[in-house]
Amino acid sequence: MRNLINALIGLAAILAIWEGLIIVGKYPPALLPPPTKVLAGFREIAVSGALVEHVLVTLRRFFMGYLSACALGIALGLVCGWLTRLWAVTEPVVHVLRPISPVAWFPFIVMWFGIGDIPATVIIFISAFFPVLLSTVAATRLINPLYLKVARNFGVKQPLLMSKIILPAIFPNIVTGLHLALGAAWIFMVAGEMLGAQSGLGFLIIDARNGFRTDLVVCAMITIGVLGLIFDRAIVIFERWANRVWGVGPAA
Amino acid sequence: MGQPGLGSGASRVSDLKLVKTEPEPNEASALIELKGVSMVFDDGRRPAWRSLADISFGVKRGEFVCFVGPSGCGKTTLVNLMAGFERPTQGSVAIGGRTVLAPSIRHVTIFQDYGLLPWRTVKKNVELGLESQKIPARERAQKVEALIKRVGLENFINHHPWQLSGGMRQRVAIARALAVEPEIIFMDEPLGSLDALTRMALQEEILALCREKGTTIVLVTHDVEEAVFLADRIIVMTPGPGRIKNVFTVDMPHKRDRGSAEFARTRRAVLNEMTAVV
Repeated sequence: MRNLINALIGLAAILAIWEGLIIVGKYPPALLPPPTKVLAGFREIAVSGALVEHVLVTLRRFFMGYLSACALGIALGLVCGWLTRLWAVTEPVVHVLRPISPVAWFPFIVMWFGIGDIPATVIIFISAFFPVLLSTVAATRLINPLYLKVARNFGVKQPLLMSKIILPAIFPNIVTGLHLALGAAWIFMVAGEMLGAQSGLGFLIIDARNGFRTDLVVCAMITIGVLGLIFDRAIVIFERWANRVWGVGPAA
Repeated sequence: MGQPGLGSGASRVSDLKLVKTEPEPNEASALIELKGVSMVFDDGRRPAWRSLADISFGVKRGEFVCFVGPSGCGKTTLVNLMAGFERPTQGSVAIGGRTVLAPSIRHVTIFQDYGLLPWRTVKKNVELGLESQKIPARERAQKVEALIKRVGLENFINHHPWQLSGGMRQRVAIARALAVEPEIIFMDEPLGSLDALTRMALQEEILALCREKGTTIVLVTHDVEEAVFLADRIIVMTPGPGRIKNVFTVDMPHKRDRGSAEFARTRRAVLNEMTAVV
């Protein structure tokens, strides 16, 4: 309740500064649209159905890219973390690839896949993949040796060792990587859709700018921010759940 | 040589009808047999660490043997070798006449920090060893439920380990070990992190539960009273590197009275043996 009040105070303050700037600076609406105009813009795209359409397209791409990155990142991370030699070979490669912004892949992505759903999905995938991979490798290498001892003692062998012991043992640690990846992927989702798509929230920003509808640009930005916040809260809840059910207990 | 008190301790021991025996490595009836076992840890970076030197010893089938000694005397290493988690640098470890090469589900270890899998409920933890064997689900469930009831945790069957006290967790670990009906149970300081009352209660439970089926038990502890309460034989170890200093046979019938004069005398005799070297 107290948090909610604080949040509302913050939001009210930013609205007041925003409106105040426009009154004092007399900026033209195209340069800095006032809150009232943004609200009207929201109503417009909500009524026309464009907002929902863009949001749904974005969500579909986002979850395709993010979830496939999670699946592949965890699978490869388990293998690389378990096979020390393999990781010694792949680690340098990963560390060279990782600092390259996913957007830098864009020229190739468009040449290979054209314009549409795939480029944005691939960029989301790349941005989520590395945090998941690295956290899975680190967690696998740091697995409590006691669990492996118990598994050996009770005759748990591969592949059951992987699915019944290693994966659940390190899952609470992987979730931290999933959280980081979610944030990175959501940020790069906008870039991916601005560059290579004809729909979605990123495209809405470009499209609105081209039509000088800066109020709609702000609408898209706010929508992206609010959805990002919702996903972040959701994965925090997921993290707590994972710790309670899979881990050593709820974080103190 | 250089062990004052050993001679006088020995005579007192015989007064107490505590039979002092030499290690009997080649005893024909030995289930677990250690011959000239030495263990050196050498990772090539730090100076090599001699953990055990020339240990020869036999554990008979159905026996309850306790290893006691100060920390650093290699008792945990000894259990790791017998349980197959490690191989000796020199010498051999055999169970039932066969050299121990790897851990086996026939020889289960109970660890000090329980070794429970935190993502599994009590029921699923107890079931672990039965899953890797080809036992039908219904049979498994019956067995697991009976065991959980036997250790008094029937109201916690679907709890996770973090929701249980230390004593309850160790009960789960005991039930999990018993579920696979092992020939031998190794216990490495199983009660080391529990409070005194829980310890005593669990010592009684270990005796009752594990002896029901004549399971052979090797228990490592630094608590002499625990050893005197539980063991058929107590092996006193000394550190630097770990060696067997002496072996006591405890003849008192169960359930032993911790307050009895004989219990106190036995405890003192073992303690004297331990402190004589420190």
